Amino acid sequence: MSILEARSVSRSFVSRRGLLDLVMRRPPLALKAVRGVDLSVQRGETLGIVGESGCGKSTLARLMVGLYPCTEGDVALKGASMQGPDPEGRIQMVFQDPYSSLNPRMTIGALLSEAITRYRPKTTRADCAREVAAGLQKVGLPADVAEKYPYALSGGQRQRASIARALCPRPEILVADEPVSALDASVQANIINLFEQLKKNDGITIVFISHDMQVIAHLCDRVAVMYLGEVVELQETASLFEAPLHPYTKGLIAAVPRIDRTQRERMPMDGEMPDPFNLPDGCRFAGRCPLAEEKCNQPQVLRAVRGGMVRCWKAPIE
Amino acid sequence: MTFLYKFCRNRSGLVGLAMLLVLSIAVLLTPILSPHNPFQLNFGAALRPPSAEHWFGTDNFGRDVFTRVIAGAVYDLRLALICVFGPAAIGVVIGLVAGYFGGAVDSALMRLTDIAWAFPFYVLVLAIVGVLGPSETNLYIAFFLVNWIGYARIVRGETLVTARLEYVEAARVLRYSRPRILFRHIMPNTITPALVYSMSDVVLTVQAIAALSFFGLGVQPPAPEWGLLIVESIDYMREAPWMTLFPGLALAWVGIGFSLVGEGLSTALKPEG
Repeated sequence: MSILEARSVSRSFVSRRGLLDLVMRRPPLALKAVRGVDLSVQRGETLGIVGESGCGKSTLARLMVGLYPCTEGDVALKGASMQGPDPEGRIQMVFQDPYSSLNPRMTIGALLSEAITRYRPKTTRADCAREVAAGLQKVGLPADVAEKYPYALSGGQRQRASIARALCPRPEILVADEPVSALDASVQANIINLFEQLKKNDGITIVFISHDMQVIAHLCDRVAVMYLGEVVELQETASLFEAPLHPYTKGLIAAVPRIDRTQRERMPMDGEMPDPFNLPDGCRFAGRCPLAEEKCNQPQVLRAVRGGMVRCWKAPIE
Repeated sequence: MTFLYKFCRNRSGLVGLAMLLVLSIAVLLTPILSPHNPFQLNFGAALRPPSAEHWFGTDNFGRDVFTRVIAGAVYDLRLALICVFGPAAIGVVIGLVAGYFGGAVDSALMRLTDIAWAFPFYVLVLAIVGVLGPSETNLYIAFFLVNWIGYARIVRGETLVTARLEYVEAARVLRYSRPRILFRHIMPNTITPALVYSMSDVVLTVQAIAALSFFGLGVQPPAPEWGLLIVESIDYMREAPWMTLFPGLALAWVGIGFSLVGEGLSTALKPEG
């Protein structure tokens, strides 16, 4: 059984209307950041969600942890529909920007103890201090970090502290929203190794969001590719990189820079993204797709092809 | 620790603090510094100029001006601090709630502040005095009705920004209680501009209190409030300018002191990084 499931989840953001808009009877502008996403995450797996900026990855992450309510559909944790963040703390989140994800007025130790006592209120002071030290050790931080304020830490250390805090409620699932994209390349590798350890040693289920195909290839068991709020492809990582089903996925993989000389088949992607306030009925990628035809203007459904799922009538493409 | 250190490195903050400390010590030590009673009439010693016996001279009733100015500090500072920090606490909570919950709550609270903002302050005081008669209590009522507005607006604006930061989202994912999120995570990061503003607010409020008492709308004689000391001295300004000068200087002293402390606070309270 899947541990976490998005069931036809949609989320729109309505632009705020001023008094003048009401008087002029202008209709509200709605932006559908996520539309009809069905995803199920299996216990112990690492699911990657990839896509370019503005495709709704972060919105989907916030929907999955319950930070935003869904406009349509729902998110189920072990089969039970979630209303807001889980009161037992079974899903936790790691954020993108390590500089704004820690309260600058609290020490790392205070941030961790707060999370520990929230879920285990009977913890004594001594036990709490011990747990803080153990939590810091787990993410590879020295114990004296507990007395420091976030400003005294580097970006990588902050991200480790942020992961340590997310682990305090002993979650079963971690949703990581671009946890390495704000870090230096050398630090990125360390944080990714930390996620690998959590996956292997603690069996934590991870939803890992990134725009970096290489990071995704390294860490994830399955990958969902998003384009303008929709999942356009879902496959096992190995087969996704070997034989992408959707032209967009093919383009993403072709765009990964390589240091060896072997030139991959180029995948030209011209044109602009459609206006997110006014999306086409048909394939949303058609405007940039080199293979687009007349039939692409009809609505596309997510269908099973070769063990994966794809939202393109032409798939599998060769 | 770092706060104290940073505050002490800022010269204007230190000077301001020293000015306020000098006044406070003078208040505490009046029984030693001056043997006079601020209310004791002594017609034989009326309108004496400043001397070793009477440092700031005496008034038309022979009362020691130094003793009265220092005794006035108790009135003015107590009134000003209560009339600033009482409403400030209310305003901070209103601002936090409006900024955090947004939507209809925000609109309702902000329209309320607009209404309070629209009242001309002195007209409001006149109305209250007209209904209840002049007294110190009316000063409290008037200031509590209007002084919270600035804090509500400042804190609301800061909260709008802070509530969208990832550490607040993290607190929500961790399911912390709303009071904890508001007062432990948002408030400490939004309060600095309000605190700095409160220092200049104290200055304005001291002067408003003195002005209202000057016009007979606030503290009533024979209390040695500074505004009252000044209004009582007007008739004797030529013969005994010290009667006007020293309460005026005391007002300026407090004003400059709080302004400088506010400047020191604004540098010391900036979070690092």
